[in-house]
Amino acid sequence: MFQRIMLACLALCLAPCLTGTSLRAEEVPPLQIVTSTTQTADFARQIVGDRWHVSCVLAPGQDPHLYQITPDNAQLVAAADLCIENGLLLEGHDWMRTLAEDNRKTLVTCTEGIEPLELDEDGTKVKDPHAWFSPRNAAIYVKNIERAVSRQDPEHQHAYEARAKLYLAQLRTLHAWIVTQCNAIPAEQRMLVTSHDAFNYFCDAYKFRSAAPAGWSTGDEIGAGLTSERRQKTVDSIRGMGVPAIFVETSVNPDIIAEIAKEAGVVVGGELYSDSMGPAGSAGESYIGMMRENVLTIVGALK
Amino acid sequence: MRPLAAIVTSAVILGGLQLYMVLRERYRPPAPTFVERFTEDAYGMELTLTFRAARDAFEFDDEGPVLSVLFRGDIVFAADDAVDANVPVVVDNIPGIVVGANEFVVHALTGGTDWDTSHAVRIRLLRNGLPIAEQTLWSDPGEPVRGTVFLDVPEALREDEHEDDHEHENVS
Repeated sequence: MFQRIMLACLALCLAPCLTGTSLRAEEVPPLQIVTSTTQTADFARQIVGDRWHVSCVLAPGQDPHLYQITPDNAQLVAAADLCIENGLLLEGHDWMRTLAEDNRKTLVTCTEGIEPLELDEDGTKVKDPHAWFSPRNAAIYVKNIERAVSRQDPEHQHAYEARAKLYLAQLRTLHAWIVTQCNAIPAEQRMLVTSHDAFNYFCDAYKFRSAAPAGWSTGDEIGAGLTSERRQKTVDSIRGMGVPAIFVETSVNPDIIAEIAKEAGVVVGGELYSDSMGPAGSAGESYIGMMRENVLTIVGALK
Repeated sequence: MRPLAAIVTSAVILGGLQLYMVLRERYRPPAPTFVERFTEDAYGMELTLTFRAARDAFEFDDEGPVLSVLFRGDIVFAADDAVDANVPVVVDNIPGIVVGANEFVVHALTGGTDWDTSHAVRIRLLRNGLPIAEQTLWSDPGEPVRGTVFLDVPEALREDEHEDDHEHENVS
């Protein structure tokens, strides 16, 4: 009798453990998203929350124009359920598309549906890929990603929609805040000189003029890179417009801007997040944080 | 005796009620009839915006036209692409305009970025290319322009009335 009672107690004690084990075995591993840039990774995380695991090929501070893919990247993409890129050749020589196509993965191009700005780089028309610098375009990125994840996981479509709506409201607030902040800079001082031509969408949205010694890309694509003509033109622009400060970028070598600042007799106004967001724990670890930090730096130096 | 009195009283009350119902129907004044008087003139509309009508990028569901006009439940004008400010948009051949009040539903998206500004759409009704009625529809600050306008169409002057008018002008 005593033995039976002991066995029953043992069974009762072990039951939750056994049930727990079987539940864990039934848990579905989260879906995997692999994005090319830190900004697109942040947008994806905002929409999917904990339902997907989001990985980014680029580490914070890395330059997407110059990036060379590695075998680890191919392995990461091979395990992905969905790949996301910025598009418009931000990823130098289209490396994210190459990775996705080689692994036969669905690729979402975030810039699909935006009205790209056309740059005239030494007679060559180039579509500017840095579209996320306008929160309105960021909203299009978010909607493109939401549509793609909802297609992939229709069961949780309402959750993705709800999260996307919430994030769009935050982007609207961000846009309103930037407008208010930029209004503190007199119109004639709204000139943004940066390492490379990344801020055209920002300048277009908030009525700045822009200049950069390097073209639309830091790489070796057509109309890209640093040339002596562009460098001289930038120095002339700074002198001609009476710009009080110019800016370096977190993902680009700051030496050239420091030299130009010295030559033009202006100060370096600070460091801006451009093609990449900041590392975890920094002010620029999220898209909204990055934009906020950039605006504070720009307004502080130019007003 | 009492049951008989009760029956008679009930019969009188019910009979009176019945009589009232019959006479009421007989002497009811005739319901007024509304006759829509369609005109044969060519009607159009001119819309002028104080703002650039565009989709609100921060809106999740941004389907549908940026500027639309409904009349009698039908869409008489819809623009899917952005419409510039201060450039009149002319809508030709609007069918079903009647003499008297005509109700139009106007909806224009404002891009959703001017939070503290009210926007307006001026609506002019044109008869044979000439404006005959006009109204301006305003939005609340930061909101799309959305509402109904009633444009009153006067009786068209007949040809002989036109001639009379000219004679009067010549005399004066």
